[in-house]
Amino acid sequence: MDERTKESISALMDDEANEIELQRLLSKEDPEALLDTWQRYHRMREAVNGHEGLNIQVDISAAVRSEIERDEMPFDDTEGSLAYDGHRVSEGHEAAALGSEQHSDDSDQSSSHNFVGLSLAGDGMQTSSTAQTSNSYATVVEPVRFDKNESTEDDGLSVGAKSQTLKYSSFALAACLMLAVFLSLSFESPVEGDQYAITDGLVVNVLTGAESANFNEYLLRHSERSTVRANYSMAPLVRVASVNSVGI
Amino acid sequence: MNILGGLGFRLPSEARRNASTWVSRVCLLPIFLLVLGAMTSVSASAQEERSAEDWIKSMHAAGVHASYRGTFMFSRGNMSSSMRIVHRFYEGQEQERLTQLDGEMGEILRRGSEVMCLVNGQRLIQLDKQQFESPSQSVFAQFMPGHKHYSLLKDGYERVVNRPSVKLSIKSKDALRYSYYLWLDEASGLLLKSQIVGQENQVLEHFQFSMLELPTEVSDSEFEFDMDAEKLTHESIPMSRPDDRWPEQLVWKSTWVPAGFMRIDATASTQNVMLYSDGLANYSVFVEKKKANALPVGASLVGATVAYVAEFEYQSHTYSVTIVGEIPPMTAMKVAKGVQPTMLENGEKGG
Repeated sequence: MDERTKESISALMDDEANEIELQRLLSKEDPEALLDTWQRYHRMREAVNGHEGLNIQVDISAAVRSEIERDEMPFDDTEGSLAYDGHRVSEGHEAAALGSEQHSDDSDQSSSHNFVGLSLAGDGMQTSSTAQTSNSYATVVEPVRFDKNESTEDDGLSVGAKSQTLKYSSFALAACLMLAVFLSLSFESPVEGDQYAITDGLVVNVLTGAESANFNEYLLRHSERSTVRANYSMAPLVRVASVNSVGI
Repeated sequence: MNILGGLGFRLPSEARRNASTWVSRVCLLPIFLLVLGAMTSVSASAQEERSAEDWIKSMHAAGVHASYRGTFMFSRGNMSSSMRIVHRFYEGQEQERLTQLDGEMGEILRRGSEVMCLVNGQRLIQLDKQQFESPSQSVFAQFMPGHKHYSLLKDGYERVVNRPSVKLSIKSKDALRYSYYLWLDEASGLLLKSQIVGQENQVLEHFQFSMLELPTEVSDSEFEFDMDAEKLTHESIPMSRPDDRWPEQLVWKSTWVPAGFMRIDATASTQNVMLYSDGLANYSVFVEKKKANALPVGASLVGATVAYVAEFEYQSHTYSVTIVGEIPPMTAMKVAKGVQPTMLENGEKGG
């Protein structure tokens, strides 16, 4: 990646990139290198601004691309929201979303999170069927038209060619990345004491507090016995110590 | 300039393309490459000859004998915490102190085979394990993971905690066990970073030093617990909880052992606690009477660690079999289901 490209990314972060620069970036650069630099600059900025720890590492561009290839995005000009009426795959794991999160009080939906807009699961596609905007993120995400007919074969983002669209999609990319981080952090595990997976006769439990303590006790006994013999010599008690705050 | 631009320090756009920036970089680059080349050629020739097995041996040796002090990050599942560690080999025994730096204060102190946990400076928890003092323990220390079940290879050289390290890739050849990535200090062999990964290459457990003093001098005082003697409560966890009602002739046998694993605590006096290893992964089998607030039947997972519980009815008693270790839940389930009670003939003794 040459200096000029880096300059452009830098300018893009400050919303000072002009359309030509943006065009060039998105069409010429290797998407992976581009994303990597983009993330790195953000981390630097976060660090300088004293917001350390927010690591933008979630890459949803591939998921975005495949989603675009699969479906065309309905475009709602009047509401100013990214409305996507897709289908939901139940029980996504680490979900990242573009759009806003809506906490539903409806009892029938209480176990799953509803995302407004387009949400992408880490290991599969998850799209929400809710299409109403509810809070602040909707103001971040400007209308974006994803048009697969206009996109080039190999640009990493498959955004439309119109300049207006491009400008917004850079916003959208930023919003995607940020929200991906926030939402993957806030995404909760299933209800405590529940069973969440049964495959091939294997039952997997989610532990309650008391059970966690019990788990740790076993772990201590197991680790303690492994101490002398372990070849893989990360201090065996690390596993016990790490869950110490949960119980024992 | 590009970075400054990104940080909000705006410069006129002409300055962004200031020639002096790249001139200085072009001048520095050859010097940097020269230095880098000299460094790598020296270390590479010496390290290139060592096989992955050699590195595993030195990792084990360093894990026992090195004196070091550091902090590390440890994450498993959705939990992540930073810890401080002090370790030394002193008068023939390993001493180690682990301090939890996040959340509730918790510490673990190990002196040889003695292990103590201190929670909040008030609860002292010890393992009652006299029956496990066994001189044969170290026999298996050099038990190597087999090529039949893992493919071991050196996967390059990387910098970790500001130290040159060698990366080992240990890929499992079947679904019975997990794979590992290990980063070992080139100078000492100490494990600097490790990842346990599942079948889909997902990281289940991640360990990494963020600061390390090695080698270093470690003093006695670093292994003394700071305890509030007045408030201190002592608790003891028995290593084994056999049921009093168990007939003396009742022993437990693990009839299904995953390929490559072998029992490594053959001298154990009890028949209801067993430890198995394939050279990298270990798991324990506990057979006990069912107790209150026991773990639910099935698998409970924390990162790469599983506790699988199965219950058995035998002669009108309910026993619980618990498999704990760094193995996939499916493997644990098969092990648990293969544990069977046996009545010994008269005169035959367990063990």
